[in-house]
Amino acid sequence: MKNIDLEICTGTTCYLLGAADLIDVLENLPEPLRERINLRGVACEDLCKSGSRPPFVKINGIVIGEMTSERLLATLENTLGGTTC
Amino acid sequence: MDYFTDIAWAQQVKEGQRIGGDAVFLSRTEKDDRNICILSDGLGSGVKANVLATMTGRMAQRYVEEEKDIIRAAEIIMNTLPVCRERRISYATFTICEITADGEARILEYDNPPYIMIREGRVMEVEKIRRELNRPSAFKKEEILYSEVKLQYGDRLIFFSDGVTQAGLGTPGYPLGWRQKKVAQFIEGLMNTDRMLSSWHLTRSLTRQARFLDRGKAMDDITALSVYFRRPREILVVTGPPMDQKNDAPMARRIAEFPGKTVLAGGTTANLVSRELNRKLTINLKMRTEKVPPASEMEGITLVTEGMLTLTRVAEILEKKDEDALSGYDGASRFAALLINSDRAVFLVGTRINEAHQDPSIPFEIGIRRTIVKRIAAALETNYLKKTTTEYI
Ligand code: FES
Repeated sequence: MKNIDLEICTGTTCYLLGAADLIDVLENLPEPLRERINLRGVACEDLCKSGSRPPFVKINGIVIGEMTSERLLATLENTLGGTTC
Repeated sequence: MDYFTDIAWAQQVKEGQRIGGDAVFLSRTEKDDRNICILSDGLGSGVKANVLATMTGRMAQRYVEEEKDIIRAAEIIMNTLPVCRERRISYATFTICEITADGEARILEYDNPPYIMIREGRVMEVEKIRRELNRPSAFKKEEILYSEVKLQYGDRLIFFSDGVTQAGLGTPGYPLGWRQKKVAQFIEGLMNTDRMLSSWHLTRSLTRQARFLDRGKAMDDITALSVYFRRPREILVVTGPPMDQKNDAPMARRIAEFPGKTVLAGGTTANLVSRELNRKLTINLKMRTEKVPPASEMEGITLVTEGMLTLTRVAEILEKKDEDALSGYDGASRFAALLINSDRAVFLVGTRINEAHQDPSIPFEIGIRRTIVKRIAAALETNYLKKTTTEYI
């Protein structure tokens, strides 16, 4: 089973526009799922000034904007195989 | 001589009263940089006692600010304030402490518990001059005590009301109350645990312990005031990237070489310093609240936080003197606590505009960095008597 590298931007704009909720979701995932995610916070790297919309996460190296809790859960399920939760 | 006089006080109001009958007045004179501290205890409790204590304290403060000799000031106060007719005692007891710019402390005591002087972590006896007053209206002979101390680094003067010495009165452990000697031992105990304890913490430990001895409900107003003469503790707060990129490296060097504590507020600033000093930045996702984004860790830096939201919360905590917030485990709480435990704060404010904060999609307005830093500096000066300087780069 492969793990996921998940980076989440905790900068001002991202945090205000939803990163706070995303972190809550991630921290409250069931253990077996949570254990497979290498979660890491990152400071603003100016993606929010690039035109696309915050909040930003990076999943296995791929940047995704406008992340919501639902989309995040769906993405995790897809990537991890959907059987764990 | 480079020193700082760390002064703070704490109070537990008598159970059932909303307002204390003990009053504290602190001020620093602009002209000759003297610190003046007054603790007065009004007869009884509640509003009436507070009015008496306040009147006494204000008079004392004004006379000493006007450079009257403190013995003279005490005499004027005692001759002006009436004596309680039923009980034939003064309406308020008081202690006046004046500390000159070069650390000369003069203390005048009228009927409050004796103050405690700490040198090198131990109680030190101070010689006091007794002076009798013969007011026709007074029932008994009254006396005031005058003492002088040349303060050295690390010295402390601790003043308290009788709510402290009488704490626990009538309980099996303390039938006669906590009493002077035990209070002194308690303070020596605090010194054994932390010789550098701030006045803020010391006064809180003392008043909490007194309330604890009163079985959690203060039987009288419990007030403590502490003066701690020490080398200044400095803190450097850096927020915002410099206007000119040429200044990135010098700014980072200044942080690395700063002798005191250091705080970085802002992701861009943190990334910049991380890059310049080649030190890893690790975000701690646990250190946050719903409104305050996570803080981070970087080797050699005391605290690294997000920028505007954290600074705004720090300003709120300091402006409202929200002491409960200080024990929180998030960037803003830790930040505010660090500021309160320092004597001088240097704010280095980068002025490169952060476009992110003009993003129209942000649901509410985020202030301008400068304005928030100004609010923090003002709150530190007025509410906590700290010295601050702000530089823009
Ligand atoms: S705040 Fe997240 S990219 Fe800027």
